[in-house]
Amino acid sequence: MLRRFLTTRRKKKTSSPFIKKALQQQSPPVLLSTRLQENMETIKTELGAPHDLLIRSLLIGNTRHMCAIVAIDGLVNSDMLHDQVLSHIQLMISMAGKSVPDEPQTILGLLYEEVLSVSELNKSSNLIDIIDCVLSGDIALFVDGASEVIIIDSKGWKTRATEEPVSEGVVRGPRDGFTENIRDNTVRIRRRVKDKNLRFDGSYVGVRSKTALIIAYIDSIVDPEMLNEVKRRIATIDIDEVEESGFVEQWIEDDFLSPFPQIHNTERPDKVAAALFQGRVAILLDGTPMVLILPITIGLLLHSPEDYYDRWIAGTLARLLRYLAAFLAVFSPAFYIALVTFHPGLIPSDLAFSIAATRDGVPFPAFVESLMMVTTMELLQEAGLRLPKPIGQTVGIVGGLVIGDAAVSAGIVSPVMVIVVALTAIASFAIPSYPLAIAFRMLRFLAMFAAAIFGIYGVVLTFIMIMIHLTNLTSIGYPYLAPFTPQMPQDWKDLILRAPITFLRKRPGSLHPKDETRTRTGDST
Amino acid sequence: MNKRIVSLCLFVTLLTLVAGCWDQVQIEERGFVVGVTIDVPRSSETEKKANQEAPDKPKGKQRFLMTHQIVIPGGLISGSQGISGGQNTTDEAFLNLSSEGDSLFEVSRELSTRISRNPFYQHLKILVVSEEIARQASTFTDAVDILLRDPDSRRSSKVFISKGDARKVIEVRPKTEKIPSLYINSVGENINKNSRMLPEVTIGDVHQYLLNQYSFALPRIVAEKEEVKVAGSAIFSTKNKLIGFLGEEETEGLNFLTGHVKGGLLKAKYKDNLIVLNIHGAKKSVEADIRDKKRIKFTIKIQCEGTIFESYAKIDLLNAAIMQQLQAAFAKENERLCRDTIRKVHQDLKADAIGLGSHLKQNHYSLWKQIRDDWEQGQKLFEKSEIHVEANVYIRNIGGINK
Repeated sequence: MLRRFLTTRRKKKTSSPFIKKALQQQSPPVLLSTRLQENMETIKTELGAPHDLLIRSLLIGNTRHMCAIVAIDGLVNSDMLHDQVLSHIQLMISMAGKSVPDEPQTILGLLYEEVLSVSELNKSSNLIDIIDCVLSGDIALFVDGASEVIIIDSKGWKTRATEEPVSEGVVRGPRDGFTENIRDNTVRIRRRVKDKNLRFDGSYVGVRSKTALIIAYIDSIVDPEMLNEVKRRIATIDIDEVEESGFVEQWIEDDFLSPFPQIHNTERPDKVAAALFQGRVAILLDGTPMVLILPITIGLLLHSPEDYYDRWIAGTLARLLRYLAAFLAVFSPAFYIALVTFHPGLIPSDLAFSIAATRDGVPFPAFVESLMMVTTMELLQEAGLRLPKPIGQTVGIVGGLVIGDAAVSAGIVSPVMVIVVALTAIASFAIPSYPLAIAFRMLRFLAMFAAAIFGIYGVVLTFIMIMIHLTNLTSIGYPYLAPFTPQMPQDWKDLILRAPITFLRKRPGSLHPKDETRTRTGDST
Repeated sequence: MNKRIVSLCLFVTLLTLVAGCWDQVQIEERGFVVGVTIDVPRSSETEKKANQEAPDKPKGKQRFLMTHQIVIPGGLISGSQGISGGQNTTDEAFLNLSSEGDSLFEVSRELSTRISRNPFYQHLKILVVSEEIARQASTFTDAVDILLRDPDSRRSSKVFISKGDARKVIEVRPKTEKIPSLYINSVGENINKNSRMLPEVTIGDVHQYLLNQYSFALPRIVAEKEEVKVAGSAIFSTKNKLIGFLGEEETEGLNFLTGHVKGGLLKAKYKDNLIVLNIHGAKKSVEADIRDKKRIKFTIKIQCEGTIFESYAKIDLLNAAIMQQLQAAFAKENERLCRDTIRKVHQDLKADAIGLGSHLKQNHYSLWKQIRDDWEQGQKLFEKSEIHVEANVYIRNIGGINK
């Protein structure tokens, strides 16, 4: 039944009349005219004469030919506009000592070939293209009487400085993160991957937003089948706006009902570079520092780049700790409920008595108690996220004090519950991937309900359910639980254990890379 | 479509709600029973009353006085600071509830009419059965029946036989712990420091003993006002009936003979001065001479190791000759201990608590098949057998000083 539900939804997805309508709207109402004045009017009506539209008409050098510059204020590099474009048009053409031809098309050619000292120039005669370019930060140079327009690449808006990724801090490792500018982001990847086989396949998504999207991969490593699948899915994206990589992620993911993220997002260029070298694909989107990595496995989500930068013993121990944290984050309140309400015989006697003592006088059953505490913790987490940093800390302190201390002394919850909730919270913060931590937070409630109804039996059933789901889950068609299952023992060196770097001579086999070995000699151990 | 989704949701909800929650009891609502004692009722008043009320009711042969020790968790928190609204009114951490009847299950359920917290047996630590109950035929088995049969109780609870009233045992007021049963439970585990008590015997072990055709020994417990003494042992016959007690020294000997010595001490005299050995462990091996079925000869060899812990004799312990003499003296003492025990068990009680029968079963099975019915019963071959002891003591260390 669920499957049918899914397929109907997918049908809806593909049969959307969205793009057709949008394309109809886009068809050019006016073709490029040779008269400057007419073109300016057309552009103004097309764009609705917005406040930031910059139109500057001027004479070319000492001739009597008019030209006009069209750009969006703020999107263009104003230094370049003045020094390389305006001043050259006005002065340089006469200083070159050549006689200026009269024919507008020849003037245009002269401007294109000799006058403008800008690295990236294009000619166009399609008004729609011209408007698109202007809107994405280029300068359009119209010459009166000419049938073409010069498009000067001069994108240069103010961008945020590179900062250390907030959500993925490391003690050891590079401090730079991606920014909202896609060009900066490709630079960061290119600087780490100086392989001639690195590919950046660009396209645009979003019918109206026209957001630049780049699929990055290393051609000699990546599995071509997977690459085609990624490209196919991206081609199906059919939506008018794409503000964040989350739109792309949700459009191309395998299972929208799963709580688990099937595509990883990161702000760390080193992580993306490492993924590319493993044979994965990255998707960069303009306007967001979050770069998508796909396909992924649950192991990857529990790994941190630091595992590789630290020595292998430390890396291995950190991973063990994280797998434990994953288990605790989901199941510790559930275990508390199950043990306290159903199986006190499983608790060591002294602990059982002291839990009973602390719960003496607590008016709620353990389930309600835990539900209250866990919900409060979620509230605190959400509230702390929204608030500015200084206030956020206050929320933490107030929340911690109120819930930790006051609630206990008021007899609403037991101290043991506070310990359990604190342990759960800390465990869920130890998960390196935020979307995965969210998945665990959701499943925690499921496990708690199951524990309240069936005790340990329910917890075990929940675990089995989660495992069945994970086994069935895929990321771009690749098994999510690999290399646990399907079993790929050769990949286990870099799973829960992180074997010494010198032992890791093969790329993850689950990704079917073209080039399997990571060493120059290609010998395998 | 919608109908199917709704019916699926309904199905899942009903399934969980109908099947779930049935045995849910909050931890603070459980009455943790940590100790149970079984006595013979002191007076027969309640029995008479019951008879008057319903003379035709089915009745058991023996009425039991059962005392439950239930933990009051609130009393465990010292000073009881912070927690308000607790339900305990006294500082005591336990509550003893006695009740009598001819069925222990009846008594257990009768408790529910008297306390708010239902008895919960999974944390039962000790079961103390009084000498009187144990001495009567079959009442001991009746007394432990419920604890073995109840799936909610654990086989790991320790069993003791009390000299005198069993109730007195869990009524002691130990200074070191708040709950007497937990105190007794810990005392019962001190076998590695003192070999005058038997190693812990659990209800599960008792179950095994009862089903086997051997005699067996259970630890003896004696109550005083503020403390208990877990020392000595109670010997049960093949009919699962208490036939006598072994004293502390005899129990020590029994431990040597069964190979259960983990620690403790041996005393010996050297030229009128006392020297004490701290035992690190002992091994035993049994050799049986089965040529004459009617008169099997057992030789129990004991090897014991230890350290000199006290020496009132000013002697050079590094002298090998002196060491030999000392070892011989300790061995002699060891043999004496064992011989005393054998005399009591073999000749007085006539019960094979040493486990010689099981030795025969394990090592001379073809013989055992012929004589298993005549071992302790029938022809009483155990009584007719001969038991010899040879002890060897090795001093491994002379302690921190020499003289």
